Amino acid sequence: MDRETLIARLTDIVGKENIVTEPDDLLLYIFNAGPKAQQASFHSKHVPIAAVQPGSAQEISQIMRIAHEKGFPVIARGQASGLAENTRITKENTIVLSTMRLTKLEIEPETLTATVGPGVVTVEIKKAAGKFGLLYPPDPASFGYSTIGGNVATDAGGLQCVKYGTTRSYVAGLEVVLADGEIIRTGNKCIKDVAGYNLTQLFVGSEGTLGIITEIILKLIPLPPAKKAMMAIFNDLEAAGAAVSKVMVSGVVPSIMEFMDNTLIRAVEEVIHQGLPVDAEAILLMEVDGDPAVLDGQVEKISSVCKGLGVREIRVANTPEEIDAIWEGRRNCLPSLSRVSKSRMSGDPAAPINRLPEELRKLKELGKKYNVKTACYGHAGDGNLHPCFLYDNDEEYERATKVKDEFYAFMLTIGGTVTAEHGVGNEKTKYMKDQFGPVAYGIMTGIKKLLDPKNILNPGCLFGENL
Amino acid sequence: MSNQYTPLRELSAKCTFCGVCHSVCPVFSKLAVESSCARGRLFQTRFLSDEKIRASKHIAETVTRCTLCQACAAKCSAGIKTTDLFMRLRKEIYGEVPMPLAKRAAFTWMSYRALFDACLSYGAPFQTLLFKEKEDGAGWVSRLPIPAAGLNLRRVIPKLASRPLRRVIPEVGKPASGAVKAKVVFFPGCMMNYVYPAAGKAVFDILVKNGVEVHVPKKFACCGTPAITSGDFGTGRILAEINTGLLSAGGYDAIITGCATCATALAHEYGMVLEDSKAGPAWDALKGKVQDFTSFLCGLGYSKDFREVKQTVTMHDPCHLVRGMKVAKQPREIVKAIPGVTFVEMADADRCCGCAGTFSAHYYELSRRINDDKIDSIARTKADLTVTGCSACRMHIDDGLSQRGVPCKTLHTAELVARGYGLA
Ligand SMILES: Cc1cc2nc3c(=O)[nH]c(=O)nc-3n(C[C@H](O)[C@H](O)[C@H](O)COP(=O)(O)OP(=O)(O)OC[C@H]3O[C@@H](n4cnc5c(N)ncnc54)[C@H](O)[C@@H]3O)c2cc1C
Repeated sequence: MDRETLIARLTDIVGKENIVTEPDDLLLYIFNAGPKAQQASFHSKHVPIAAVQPGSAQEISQIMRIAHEKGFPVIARGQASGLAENTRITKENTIVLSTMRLTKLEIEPETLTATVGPGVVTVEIKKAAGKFGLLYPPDPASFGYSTIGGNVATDAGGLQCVKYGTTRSYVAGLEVVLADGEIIRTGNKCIKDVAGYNLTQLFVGSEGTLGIITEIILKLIPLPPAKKAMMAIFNDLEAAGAAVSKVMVSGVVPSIMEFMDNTLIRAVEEVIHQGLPVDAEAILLMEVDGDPAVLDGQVEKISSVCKGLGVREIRVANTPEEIDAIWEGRRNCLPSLSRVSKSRMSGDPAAPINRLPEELRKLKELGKKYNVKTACYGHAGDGNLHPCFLYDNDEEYERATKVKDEFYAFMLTIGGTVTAEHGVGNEKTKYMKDQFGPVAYGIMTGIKKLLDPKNILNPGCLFGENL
Repeated sequence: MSNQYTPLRELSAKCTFCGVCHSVCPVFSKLAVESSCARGRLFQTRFLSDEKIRASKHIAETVTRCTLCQACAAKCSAGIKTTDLFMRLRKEIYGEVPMPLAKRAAFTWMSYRALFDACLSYGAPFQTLLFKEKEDGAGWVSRLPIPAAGLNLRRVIPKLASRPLRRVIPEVGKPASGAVKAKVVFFPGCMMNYVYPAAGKAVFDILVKNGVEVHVPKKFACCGTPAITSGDFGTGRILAEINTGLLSAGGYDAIITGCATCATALAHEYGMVLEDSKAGPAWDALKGKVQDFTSFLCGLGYSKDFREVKQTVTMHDPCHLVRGMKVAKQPREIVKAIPGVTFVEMADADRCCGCAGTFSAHYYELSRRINDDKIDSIARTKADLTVTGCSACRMHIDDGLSQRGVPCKTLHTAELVARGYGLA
């Protein structure tokens, strides 16, 4: 099928206001928030053939039928805030399928569920649930702009994962358009369901490689009645690292337990001017939530653990404004790094929570070895770090990549994973075989081939050229 | 490789493509394509600099399809001054691609201050040739569609005033009694001058009532915003030089505006157009004195000698006031001080109303769709009155209220305050 015919068919399906075909506009779809686009010289070999914004599962099904029959690659795209090059265009004639118009949002307080379209920005779900005294807990730092479709497709995690789990824990059912245009429903609003293989969870985290998610049933929980946040300031990096697992085993389950090193403290302070301790080596940001009667005791307990490790100062935030200010600072971590270097790669590996001091040491060591600026923040309480590799030009990018590769290899040796949040995307395909071993990896490629035999759904993502 | 876009590329280099701009952009909320929002435009700039794409009519279209509401600039964690950058980008693009004729002609006309003034001051009697009154009395609607001027048949616009502001208020206003607390110059701007003189008079009277000596030189030119925001920095510079001259003379304590857009032009945008002008140093000396009348009054201390105004009131924050001048608390404080006023906050009060001057002329239907959200917010408050500190926002909101049949009136914030003082 030639370009003109394809565009005419797609236009018939979605309407002419919902298709982008102008070459100069399509060029903008080669970008995403991943590391490649940060390189000054970045340009993609391939520019999409069209970008469409369908308004329903039926329209998507029609698009997939054409794509399947004629072999056009299709990449589902939310806000393209994915950090692992999850929406990179890797093939000629790719159709970009934007979910921006799929914005259904219904809260059903009686069943503690929300039914949403993939294009809804996650913060809207939080707001809508909040009106019923309910909470949708997953809170990736990007929740103010990333879509729930993107969150589900990457199993996004956030600050509160340490207590509440990742997006996966809240997905109860899906509507999915398969590669050949077939529409299926998985899961339901039941709290328990053990029938057969869990197809819902297969699609969660599949990064657009198995099907296009068109509707999501989410679980909600009652909004915790109160919370308190605190900042523990350390003069010693490894003491901060050690404090993390000590707090986690102290009997208190913090709802958030975050870590920021000195580089981040200074960069964030420059953005939001909150009076962060710019001379400290590290800070831990923590929150406890639940019954107001028990919170003070929990804050006390955490404080005493930190004191045992030589904490310099503890600041407690009581009012909603003070609490918000703490998290606003944390959410600004990654973007604020643009004040330290022109470009950056942010990793998201994880390891068991007691290994944090070693990880921090290793990162410093590798940065020195290759003369690359590094920084580190992350969800210390769940073992998931964001080591950042900073660079200003293409030559530094190469060195930063070496640091990243060696750091990831190290994480695997201590029982970790190369990605705990952003997904494999097109960025981490090279580490996959090492992490899984040939047999498990073969099962994954087998699943992919079963559901997408022509490899048209986000080709390149997860498996690179290994299909 | 380096060209006129390269300096802009440098300014946009810090974009991380995170997409936070998408979540606050009024245009993206309607179009949802990459080219409709800041990050797309920043990467467009990159490509223009690298000569991967060339300026074209199409690029000019996408670059002007932005209300310059500054919401993205306010949210950008990388600190990119998107709005300034887009104005510069428009300037460079219109250096290569011709600007639409109607715009070009209008800006040339504006730069001839006396002619511009005469047309708008004496134009009122001729309006009926082009316009007819809308049955609900909300204003005029065009007899003919005039796309070049952004007039489609349903757009409701206010009438030109039969007497412009400068013939309604004296050139100098002095407090009747007591010490003069400050000597200021009041820059009313075109909308207050020619369309809403009652609002201009309200600002003037309020200042005098509060012990301020107010000067209103007759020879002000348009502040230049329509030209500057469209990338016509040449016209912007001519106007900026005229106004800077007038504002520097007289030894004023403050420069007071009642129009958020004029304020932002005087305080910020002149910096861009006067970059290498001999008026630059004079502007540097005065830019810090520019204040919206509400923030000036709050700083000075204002009389609480109000009478009761029984109204349910909501407030729209103009982009140029809340983000341009960082003023939002002050007008609320004053309005809430008026006895009888029940103040109801609308949802997303600081979200762009969609007007954006020439934007609503060029993209009327899109600007209406953006405005619909504002009208919904207003309707949910059930307020009798929407007040705002920008006459262009007011005009656009009035148009929306009238077309949607929402029973709420609009006033400039100053007019409500003047009523509170029994001045209007
Ligand atoms: C500043 C910043 C902070 C971030 N913080 C976090 C964080 O704390 N935790 C975290 O987990 N991530 C974080 N991210 C990464 C990113 O925001 C998440 O991966 C998010 O889930 C992506 O959502 P999106 O709408 O941008 O999706 P996109 O980037 O557009 O897509 C992501 C993937 O999902 C697929 N996809 C999207 N929609 C669908 C659909 N409907 N059906 C099938 N596949 C689909 C895409 O094909 C792609 O593979 C952050 C990103 C930034 C820029």
